[in-house]
Amino acid sequence: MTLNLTEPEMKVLTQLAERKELSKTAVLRQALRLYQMVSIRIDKGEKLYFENELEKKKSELVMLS
Amino acid sequence: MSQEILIWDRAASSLAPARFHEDVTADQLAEAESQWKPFRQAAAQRLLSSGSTPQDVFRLIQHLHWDWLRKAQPLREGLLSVRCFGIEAEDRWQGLVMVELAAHSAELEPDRGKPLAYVEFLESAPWNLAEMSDAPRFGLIGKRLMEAVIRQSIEEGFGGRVGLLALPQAEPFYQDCHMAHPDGLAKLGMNWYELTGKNAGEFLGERQ
Repeated sequence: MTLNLTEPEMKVLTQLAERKELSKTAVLRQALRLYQMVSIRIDKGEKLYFENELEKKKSELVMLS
Repeated sequence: MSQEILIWDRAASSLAPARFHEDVTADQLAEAESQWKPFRQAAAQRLLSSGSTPQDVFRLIQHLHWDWLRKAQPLREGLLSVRCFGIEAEDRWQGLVMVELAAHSAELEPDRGKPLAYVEFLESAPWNLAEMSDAPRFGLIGKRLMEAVIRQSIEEGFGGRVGLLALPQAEPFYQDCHMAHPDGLAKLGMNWYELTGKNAGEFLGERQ
């Protein structure tokens, strides 16, 4: 398949690939796995939170399924 | 897909052939659990009958409560991030490992923040363990499963990096696998163990 990305999207993909030392394919594979995992858990009624232990902050990421 | 590997036959003191399965299904996990559960329960009962308290039993066999039937849920859901490898010999499952491949990253420098293969669960069949059998049947099961996890990590582009939270009882095994335990890193009462790319290469090199 051909993947069409905008220039900013391609820039982010390149940055992530460099930072994580992964190929662009591997980054997209990771993204798909995470998106599927989160979607399944949201569908089951679970919530996704981000927590900053140092600042004692916890925020929910609202996702629409 | 499966391939032949060698494991250690303790009775014969020699290597023995076994089948390595690289995509164990939820049904196969259920099959393993049906083989292992009666053996685990009998071992626990023997300890209780010989005067051990339930607390002693859980201290001696810290994964006694594991249930691969329940652990199979991510496979039933078709989660792309979870894979399970297994070893079969003598028509029985001899060991299983479940790996998560998207949500964990390295804690050790210089690779901190880079992805790794996270071992959710690794277990050798109860008849292979000295805690549950007077004459453990096969050895090398855990090491073969760790090799498979490292190879998967390399295939994913993670450089052989592996991480896990170890039960206290299993820590010597993971130390023997060249995994490091960074001070202060623990969760749920278990210490974080990590295999760097460099140590993964050494571990695999030793096993050629």
